[in-house]
Amino acid sequence: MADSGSTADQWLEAQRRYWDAWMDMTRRGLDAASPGQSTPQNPWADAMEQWLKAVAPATLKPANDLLEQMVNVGKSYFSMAEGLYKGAPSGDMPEMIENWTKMMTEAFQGGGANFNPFAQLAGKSGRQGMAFWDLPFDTLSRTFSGSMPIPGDFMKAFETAKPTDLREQMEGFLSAPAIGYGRESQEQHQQLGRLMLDYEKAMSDYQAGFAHLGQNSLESFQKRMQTAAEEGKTINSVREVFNIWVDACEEAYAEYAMSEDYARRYGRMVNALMALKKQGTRLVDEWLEAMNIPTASEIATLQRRLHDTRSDYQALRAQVERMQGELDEHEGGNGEVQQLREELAELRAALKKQQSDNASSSGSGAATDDEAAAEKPKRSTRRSRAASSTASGDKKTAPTKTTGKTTTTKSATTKTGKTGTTRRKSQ
Amino acid sequence: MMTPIQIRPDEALDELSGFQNKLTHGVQNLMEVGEVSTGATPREVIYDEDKMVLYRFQAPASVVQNPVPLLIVYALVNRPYMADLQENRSMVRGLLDAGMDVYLVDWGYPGRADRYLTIDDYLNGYLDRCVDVIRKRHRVDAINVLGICQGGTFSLCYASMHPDKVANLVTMVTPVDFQTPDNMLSNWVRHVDADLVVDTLGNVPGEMLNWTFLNLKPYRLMGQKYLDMVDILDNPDQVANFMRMEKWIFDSPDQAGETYRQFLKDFYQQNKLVEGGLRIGKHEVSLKNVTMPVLNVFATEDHLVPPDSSRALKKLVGTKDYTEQSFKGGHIGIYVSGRAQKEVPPSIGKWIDART
Repeated sequence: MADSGSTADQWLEAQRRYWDAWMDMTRRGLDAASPGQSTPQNPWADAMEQWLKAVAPATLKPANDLLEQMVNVGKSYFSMAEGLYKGAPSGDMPEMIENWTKMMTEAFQGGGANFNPFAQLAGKSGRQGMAFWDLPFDTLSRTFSGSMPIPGDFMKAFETAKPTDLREQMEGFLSAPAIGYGRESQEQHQQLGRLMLDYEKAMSDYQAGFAHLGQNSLESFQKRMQTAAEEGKTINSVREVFNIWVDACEEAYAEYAMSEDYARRYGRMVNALMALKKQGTRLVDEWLEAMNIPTASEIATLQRRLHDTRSDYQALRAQVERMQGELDEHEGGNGEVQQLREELAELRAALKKQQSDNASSSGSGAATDDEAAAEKPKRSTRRSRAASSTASGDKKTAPTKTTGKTTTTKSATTKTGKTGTTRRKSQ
Repeated sequence: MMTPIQIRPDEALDELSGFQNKLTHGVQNLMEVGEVSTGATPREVIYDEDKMVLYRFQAPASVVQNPVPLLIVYALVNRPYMADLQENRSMVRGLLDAGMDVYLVDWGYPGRADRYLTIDDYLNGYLDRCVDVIRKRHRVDAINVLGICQGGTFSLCYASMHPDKVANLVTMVTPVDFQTPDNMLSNWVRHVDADLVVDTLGNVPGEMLNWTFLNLKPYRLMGQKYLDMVDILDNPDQVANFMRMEKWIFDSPDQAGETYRQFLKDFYQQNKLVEGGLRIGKHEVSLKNVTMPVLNVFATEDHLVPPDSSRALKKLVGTKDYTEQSFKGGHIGIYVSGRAQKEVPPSIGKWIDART
């Protein structure tokens, strides 16, 4: 461990040199840094802020957002380093940790029940270095403001007003009985007011649930330090300390986020917000209707009908496709019968032709006289059939065709049959 | 208390100065990132309907393809380019190299007019028609399906309703039991009135879901991550990779109201995949109907879908051919880490090839 007295001097000197160097750099061409500004309380973290302001206009989104995010986390990291060393001017390490833990504890406890993380994000609490701890709330206000019945960030109203004052004022207004011609409208607005109060309370409860989380994170951090010390491990960088702090925060947060208490508070907060938003939409709808402008509920009805019509269309389309398939199958079957008919006709013609050819060849003189005598009656029969066939107009099967032609027909029949099979598969 | 912290002031100064230098010089790289591109593998549109598009990825000519195509079904809550983020971080590329003929359903961004789309519309409508298109193109009765995260849950439901159309089913980081003791999301929505949310908002904004996901680990995901980013600012390639991932994380489509309503109530709040009684359209959904071979891949460090939530499938599924594969990593790492590229797609390809 470094010598206490000289360490503190070294640290202060190093800090001064770094700060000087940093300020020199920022002065060069970085107009955003205010020249007459006095030295801030947390020079490194604040210097990062100044630097971000200076370079941000030169960068493009999304790089700009990313840079901002890095600088914000970097500030927490720097603040931790500053907090550690400021907590122990003597430079004594155990004292440093003890004092830093004490400082953090006071900061967490100082928040108490009125701790408002949104003010933290807006930089109004003055609790330097605590922004990191508020990360679970980051983007929450922006996300939820999109769901507000009133444009803009409704939550900002609660940052300046005391919740109890606001509630008293609102309750006074809400307790007035609704009378007269505008009774219904007044009741609707009173309902909106009640829902606003409900939401404000639910959100306060939700935030209050985190009150003990900082202390739990510190306890987890201390346990981790204790464990590391017992295991003889050494931590040689601020970054390692920071990472252990992150782990400790995550552990404490996860334990709470898995609890029934968190689930109930979260559920109440979300439900209250939705009820408020719904009532706001209802009121806006009334105004729109009065001005003869389509309302949200009317559009929802149209969207529902469109969806139902579309579903019906899809169902019908599927049905038509099924029926078309069946029809194709059926037509494929008819085609097959037709094809078989044609094949049958060809076979018949071929058979007749063969018979007539046989008859012709019998009369060519190739046979012996005895054979010719025996065949005589048959030949006359065939001739008469062939004459009959020709008379009926079946030109394809005219007995003039050769035997070789008949063979070709048989071959074509087989091929046609195969083609028919292929067509059925592809249907 | 003894302290393990041993940091000399000059070392602390060097450390902080180094950080500041990296940040200062790295800004230039940030400024030069420009438009962040995603999607590395060439693909063609095969079929589209409304905002849904079915893609087929171009396979390398040198690879012998499995004759049965593989359809990737991604979640509704994020964009599917996570599966094909960049050249060297692409699960799709890995599957193509493993011989798979890869298709992917991109659900698109539902608009306000889509608020009445139900899970039935998504599964028995869009998805079923995509499956039919692929079956027809390849003249097969059944295809392989790979479901990711919520897409895995949907794939299980689809396989239960249409078992004859799914040859093999792969589920990745898929929630099945939505009420394991370590399921933070499940705890958060226990008391949320899903009907009130949907009746009020119509579609549920993606930004709201994003806030929810980031708050599962707020200090890491909204804090520490950006501190670590400073360490890589001097490397333009790594900066581009980081920005690509950031783009994906915050690119969250709104959720069609009716789908969100049923998913929250039936899956998260009533855990019907486990408890039974799940109906989608005219179908009774039971995992006992999932009788085709199933490969269930989960990540051991998954903060979004706890491993036990995925492992629950083993006891519920009807198939006799069930395989589990664990990956040592997180919910995102299983698609994009270097180790995942080497381990996950090849093993999926091998498993499917053995069953084709």
